[in-house]
Amino acid sequence: MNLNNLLKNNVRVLNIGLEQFNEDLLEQGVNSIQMDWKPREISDDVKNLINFFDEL
Amino acid sequence: MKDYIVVKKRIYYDSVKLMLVTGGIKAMDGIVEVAVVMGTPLNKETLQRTSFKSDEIDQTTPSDLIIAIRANQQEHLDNALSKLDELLNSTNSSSNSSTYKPKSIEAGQKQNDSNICIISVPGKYATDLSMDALKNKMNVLLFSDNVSIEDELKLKEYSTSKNLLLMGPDCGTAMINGTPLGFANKVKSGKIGIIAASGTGLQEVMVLLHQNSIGIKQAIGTGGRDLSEKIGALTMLQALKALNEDDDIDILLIISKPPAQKVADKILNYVNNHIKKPIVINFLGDYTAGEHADNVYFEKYLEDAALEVVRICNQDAKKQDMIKDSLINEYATNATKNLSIGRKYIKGLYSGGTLNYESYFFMKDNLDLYSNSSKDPNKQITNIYNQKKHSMIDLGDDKFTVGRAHPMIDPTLRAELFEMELKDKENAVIILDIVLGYGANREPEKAFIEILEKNSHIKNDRPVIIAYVLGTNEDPQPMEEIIEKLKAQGVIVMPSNKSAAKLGLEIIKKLA
Repeated sequence: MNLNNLLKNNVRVLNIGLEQFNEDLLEQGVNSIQMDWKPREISDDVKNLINFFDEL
Repeated sequence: MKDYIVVKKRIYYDSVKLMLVTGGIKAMDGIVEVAVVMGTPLNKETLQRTSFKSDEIDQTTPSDLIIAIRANQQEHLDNALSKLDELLNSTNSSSNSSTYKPKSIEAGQKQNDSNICIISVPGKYATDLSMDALKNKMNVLLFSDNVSIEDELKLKEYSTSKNLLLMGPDCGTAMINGTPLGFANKVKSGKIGIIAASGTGLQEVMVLLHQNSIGIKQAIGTGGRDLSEKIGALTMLQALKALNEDDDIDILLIISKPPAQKVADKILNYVNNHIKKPIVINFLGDYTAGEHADNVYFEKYLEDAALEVVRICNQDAKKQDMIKDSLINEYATNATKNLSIGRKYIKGLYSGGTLNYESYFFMKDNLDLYSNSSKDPNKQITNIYNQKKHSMIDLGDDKFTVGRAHPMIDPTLRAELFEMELKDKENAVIILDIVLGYGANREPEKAFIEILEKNSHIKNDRPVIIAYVLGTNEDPQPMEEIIEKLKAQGVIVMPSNKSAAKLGLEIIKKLA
């Protein structure tokens, strides 16, 4: 949804990270969901592979 | 005394979770010190000060979890360790087992047709997630800091090319269609549109407008670097255009810490050529405005910018003062009477970056003042634990938030500094900001009140403490109650950040 439409509509939130933000939105009755996110450590080999494919 | 130190390799908990776990253990009987933190350099330094030392701690990385507990007896330690697992594994209401949590941005977007994604993960993961959200046609509020300016440019070039909004990085506050996002206060809805490259600056102006019965429709954060030469105000110009086209907005307001001169001129040029609505511009600092149209008003301070909007709304001829200089002078005279000889320094301990900068800017021409907000390398603070000089510290600065929640959420570091400065017999004034609102700690005053109670024996021989409580009576925290608690401890509570700085400076001037 582009910016001009966003400013005319109710927000619907996908929250990634601090769960307090999602809690606060739910408390206000906002349509908000929390994503199950954990950092993924990528090894150097995998990083090189990604770079290789990016360059193709 | 029993110490327990263990490192768990490659395990992640967010900083708020760890703050709550630390707090939960600290409140238990017989616990002397506790830290449950990720192994960032800042956290390791803090552990050293509490004399938790081990080779294992030295070798940790920011991806490792450090658990350090000091207890009076083995029994207390055993109790704490049983509680620790329970706290680390506990869930809150939004993450209980019955609530499905999508594992990808695509799945999340489909689940509630999200039109905005709020991202507050460690900086090194934030760019990829933001790009993913933008590619899924979502607007983004990027709360994370420690994102490179090159990544910011890449994200903003993409978002503006699709007319999607990317607020941030390091964007703490926004309000879209009356809904507060991130660190935001509950304020009246109305016809004001604000664009801000400043989180607490935006919060203060929104709060002051609310207190003057003026409501806000949209408040768009851009991130603090948007007005740098490298970014060139990509988000601010995009937002200005959108708010100008919004017929429900009558008055516009721009807030920023000092922008690059070229970028400020670019914005003014856009305003002169495209904006017909009244617009108040607050470029905090020494910006000299070039030629501008009659509908453009410049103000140097946050309070003045808010009051200028009030004046325009009420069609008053003259802006009203928030607090008269004569009253500040009277407060300063009374406060100075009780200060013992030798007290001379002013110390600002801020959670809000813009509030810190504004105070620094307000005082810098009158004092030999140091700050991590200063652009002058000779006025930088090198060691926050040992500064025998006037200083204003922004504890929300990127370097204090790696592996640690923002000080508006986690007061630990600021409270530690507050206690240290409170006991320093050369300090004359300490200034604190206490920020209320969504996202912020629900008891933001508590750590400071506890320190004042613990040090009540020096109540008659301590620095003057000035606080600015930024909030509204509709915030989740009880503002009036918090103000009363602070006053009961002898803290002087001021109605704006500028007035707090003005009083602090006035006291120092009287001592000179």
